[in-house]
Amino acid sequence: MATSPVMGFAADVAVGAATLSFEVLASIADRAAPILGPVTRTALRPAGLPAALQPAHWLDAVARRGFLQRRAAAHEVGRLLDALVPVVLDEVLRRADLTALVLSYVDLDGVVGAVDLDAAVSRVDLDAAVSRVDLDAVAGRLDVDAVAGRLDLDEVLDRLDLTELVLQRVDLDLLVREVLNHLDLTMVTALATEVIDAVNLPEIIRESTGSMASETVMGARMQGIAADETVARIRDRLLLRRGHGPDAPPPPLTGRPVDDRSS
Amino acid sequence: MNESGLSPLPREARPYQGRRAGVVSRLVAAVIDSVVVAIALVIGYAVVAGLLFMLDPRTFSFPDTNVLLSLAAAFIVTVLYLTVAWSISGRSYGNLVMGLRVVNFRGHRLRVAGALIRALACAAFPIGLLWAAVSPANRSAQDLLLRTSVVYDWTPSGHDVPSEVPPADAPGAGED
Repeated sequence: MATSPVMGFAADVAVGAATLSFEVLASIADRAAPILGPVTRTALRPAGLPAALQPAHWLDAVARRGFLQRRAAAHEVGRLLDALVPVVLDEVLRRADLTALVLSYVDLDGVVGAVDLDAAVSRVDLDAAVSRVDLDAVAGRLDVDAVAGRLDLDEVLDRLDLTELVLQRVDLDLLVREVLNHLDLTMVTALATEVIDAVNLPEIIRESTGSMASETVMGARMQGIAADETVARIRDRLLLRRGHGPDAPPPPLTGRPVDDRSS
Repeated sequence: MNESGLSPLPREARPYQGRRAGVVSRLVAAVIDSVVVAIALVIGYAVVAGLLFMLDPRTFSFPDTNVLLSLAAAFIVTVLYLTVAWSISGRSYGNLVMGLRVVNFRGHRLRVAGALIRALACAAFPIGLLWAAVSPANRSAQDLLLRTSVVYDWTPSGHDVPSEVPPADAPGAGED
C-alpha cells in the first residue's frame, strides 16, 4: 500500500508531539512526586473520616472491578488469538517463501555448529534407517572396479584359509570328473609313459617274472647286438659305406634303398 | 610296443626291435640250436640203445655210429626241429635265447611249408649263414633265396614289435 509523503510527515509530527507531551508529563510527575505523594495520601485517607467513606476505599473498589474486567478481557483476547492465530499464520506462511526467508535471514552454519551431532546420531535408529534404504540401487551406482583396484588382495588372501575353504565349499569329485573330461587322453598317456620310463617298469616286470628275459639273457642279447654292430661297422668300412660312426644311430638292418644301391 | 605306448623292453634294446639281426647273434643262436640238436641226437641214440638192450640184453652192443648215418640223423632232427620251431613260434631255442625271430617277406611268421624249405636249406648249407656278415642288410644266403629275414624281437609273442622288414612290393625288399 503506497502512502503519500505528506501523510507520512503528518503521522511523524503527531507521534513526535505525543511523545514529547508524555515526556513532559512524566518529568513533571517525577519532580512533583515528593510534594504530591503526602498530599495524595492525605487526600485519599483523610483523618477522622470513616474508612468506608474515604476516597481510597472507593478507589480500591474501582481497582478491584477493573482487575476483574482486565482478567476477563485477557481471557477473551486469548480465546480470540487461539482461534485467529493458526488461521492467520497459515495464510501468512502460505504466502511467504519460507525457504528463501530462512536462507536469507538464518545463519545455518551457526545453527548446525551449535547442534551436538554425535548426540543426535546416537539417538537415531540406524538399523531402521538402513532397512528403508534400497541398497541394490546404491550398489548399482558403485564403481566396483575402482573399489577392487584399491584392494590389497594379497593381504586379504593371507587372512583366508583357502585350503579349508576349498575342502568345505568345493565338490572335489565333480571337479576331478570335469578335469578328466577336459583332459587330452593322448597327453595323459604320454605322461604315464614318461613316468613308467622314469621308474623303469620293464626292469620291475623282469625282476618279478624271472622268465627267459633274465639279466643274463638280456646281457647276452645286448652283447650279441653290440657284436653285430661291430661286424656291421667293419663290413661297412671294408665296403666303403658311410653312416656308422661310434655315435651313429643303429644301422639300418632292413633292406633300405640306400643299402640296396650300395650292395 | 603295445597300443598304450608302453614297452616291456629295456630302453637300450628298443631301437633294434624289428631290425634284421647281425651275423654274430645269429651264429650264437645257431650254435645253441646245434647243441640242442646234438643233445637230441644223444638222447635218441640212448633211447635206441636202451630199446635194443631191453629186447636182447645178452647180445646187446651199442649201435654203430657211422658218419653217414649220424649225419643223416642230424640232418633229419635239425630239419624237424627247425621246421616245428619256426612254424609254431617263429623262433628256435637259440633264437629265443638271443631274442631273434624268423619272419617271411611280409614280416609274418613262416608257414609250415616255408619253415620246412628254410630248414632244409639251412641244414643242407649251414655256411650260407655267414653271408649275413657280408650282406649290408644282414641277410643269409637262405634269406636271400627264400625272401625271409631274422629280426631282433625280444617280446614273447612277437605281435607288439613293429617289424621293419619291408613288404614284398616295397623298394629294396629283395636287396643283395
